[in-house]
Amino acid sequence: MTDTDKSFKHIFSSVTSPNTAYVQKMRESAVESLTTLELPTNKHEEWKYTSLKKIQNADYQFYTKKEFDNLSASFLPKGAEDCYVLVVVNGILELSLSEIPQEISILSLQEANEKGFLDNYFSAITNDKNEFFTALNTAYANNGLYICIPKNVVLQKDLLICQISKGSEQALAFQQRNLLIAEANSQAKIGFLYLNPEEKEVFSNEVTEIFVAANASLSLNNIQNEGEKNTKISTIYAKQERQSKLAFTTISLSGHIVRNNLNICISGEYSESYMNGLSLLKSNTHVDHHTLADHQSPNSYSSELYKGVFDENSTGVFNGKIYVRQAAQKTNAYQQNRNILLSEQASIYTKPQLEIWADDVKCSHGATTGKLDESAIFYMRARGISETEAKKLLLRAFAQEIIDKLDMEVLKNYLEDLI
Amino acid sequence: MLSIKNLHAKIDQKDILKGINLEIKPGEVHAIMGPNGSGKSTLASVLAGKEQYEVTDGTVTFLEKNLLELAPEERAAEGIFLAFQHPIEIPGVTTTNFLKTALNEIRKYRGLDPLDAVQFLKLLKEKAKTLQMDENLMKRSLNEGFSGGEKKRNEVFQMAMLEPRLAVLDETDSGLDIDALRIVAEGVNKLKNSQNAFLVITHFQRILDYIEPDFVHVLCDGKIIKSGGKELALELEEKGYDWVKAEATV
Repeated sequence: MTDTDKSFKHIFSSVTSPNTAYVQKMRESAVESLTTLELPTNKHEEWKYTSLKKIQNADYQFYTKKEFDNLSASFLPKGAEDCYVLVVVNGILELSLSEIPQEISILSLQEANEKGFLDNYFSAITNDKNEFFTALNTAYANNGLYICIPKNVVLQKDLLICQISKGSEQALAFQQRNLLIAEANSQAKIGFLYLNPEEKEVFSNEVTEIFVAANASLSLNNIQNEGEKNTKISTIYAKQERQSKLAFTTISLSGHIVRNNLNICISGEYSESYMNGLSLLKSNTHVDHHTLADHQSPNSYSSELYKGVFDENSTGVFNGKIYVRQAAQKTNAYQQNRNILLSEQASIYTKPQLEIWADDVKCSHGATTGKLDESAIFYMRARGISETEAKKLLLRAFAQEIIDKLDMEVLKNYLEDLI
Repeated sequence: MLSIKNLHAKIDQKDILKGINLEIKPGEVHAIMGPNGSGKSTLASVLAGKEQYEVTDGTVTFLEKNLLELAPEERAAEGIFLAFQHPIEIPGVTTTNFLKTALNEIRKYRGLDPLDAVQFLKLLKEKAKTLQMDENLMKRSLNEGFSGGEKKRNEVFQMAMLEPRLAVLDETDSGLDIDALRIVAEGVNKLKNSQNAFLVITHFQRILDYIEPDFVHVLCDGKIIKSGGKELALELEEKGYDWVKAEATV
């Protein structure tokens, strides 16, 4: 075990809170896993292109209490007033800045734990055995959100969750654990806007478990814009029941190191799953998307489109897996990764993977990487459009396909203003 | 308006244009004909400013300016328009948005205020009506999935919107059936006036039945080897290019 493993375990295990017997059992099992799991290095196949060396030497201080009194909501995007808004600072729900909708249940993780709401859900679909950061989170994370959309409820307004990272003089580290339940026949649109307004050095390890019950429809929209000093490991485990619909759109605009793991277990028949992503990166930022669509039942559909535009020294990683299990006949699964490199120093590592055990399926996958189309630029210039403007138009057109998939006006407008 | 003197150009170390001389005045229609590989499209590309071509000798003056010193977008703003032989498909950029950007960039270059959305759409509708263009095409991505005929009509439509002083039509007739050709040619004729000029580059005489040239030039191996009136085109159609070549070498 390296010093860093120890230090992460040390800083995160320093605070404990009461658990139900169920949660306690899960936590202990994760602690057990951690005795053998180590901080992944580049030798690990799934971490080949994302090096955590940079964070190994940082001297992180664990964020424990609310050190920030004078929080103003200046970071709220235009149009937030049309949404339910939650503000989460370093993993902790800030009730003073939040508006809790009446029709659904929203609690801090600790409160939900005390009420026994985590039982049978917490760590039910996470991979604590093999994933260092997931195990670390299951073992020690005690802040985060519990959101439950009850049976038959259609959320009337979009729910916007502003995830604020706030550092101090010293680099801060925190964990966040979320549990999101969409009960049968429910519908909701939820947006996560990740910001680090002061751009201080922050490390976060966030794990979200999502349960989508039969006939439920959940749209999740993420914008990651935490600046260049933010290191983030975000891992999502989702499970879908019969005829449910789950849509993810993730827009990544910056980050020192950002690793997004998105795992969808499609366990119910006739389910639809959408995974869309857009990375627009420059300077030394690094964003890594690892996705998994695991088709376990027949007649389900998944569609995945990740795009990236990489400028200057930025790096992108895309690793998308589709599993079609033997039972999952009549699966339709599509995956595409398209990238544009704008500089000689930018890089993208892409690896689409398809593993099929069933014999009656429709699947496709592919990846492309290229530069901006020179002939298109010349065509535009020949019509009077400057080279700069022509490139802007082409990039905008490239990105627009994903931006259009954002299902929340407030986030779309936020992005429009930004790019 | 346009004065080309002793123009030499090459691409990838291969000499293509070997001394072109051509004068075009406002109100004139010039046709350049010639066999494949004679340098017709190269001439069009050099005039538009395609960077792959290197001008090794000669001058091109357009409205008193040294054209060869200008970037492609500056040439467009000065009033040169190239109708592409193969218009490019640009997914995600609508014809409307593309033209609005182009028109306003050109207006900016000329020191004019940009058109707002209302003014622009009014102009767009007007021109679409004149050229019988389907307005739905403009809402689609530029040229994406357009048929050959639609693409060429879109070129002429763009020309109508940007109102160039000199339009260069690079084999606009290639790949068009007779109906599409007629529509495209009618469009060009509607745009013709005493202030602008056209350079029609073509392999076949057919388009010249519809767009009547004042001058016909034969381009062969990078040089204009014969010039004449519109009857020269008919003669070429009938007898091919060999007799001109033979005449030129005598």
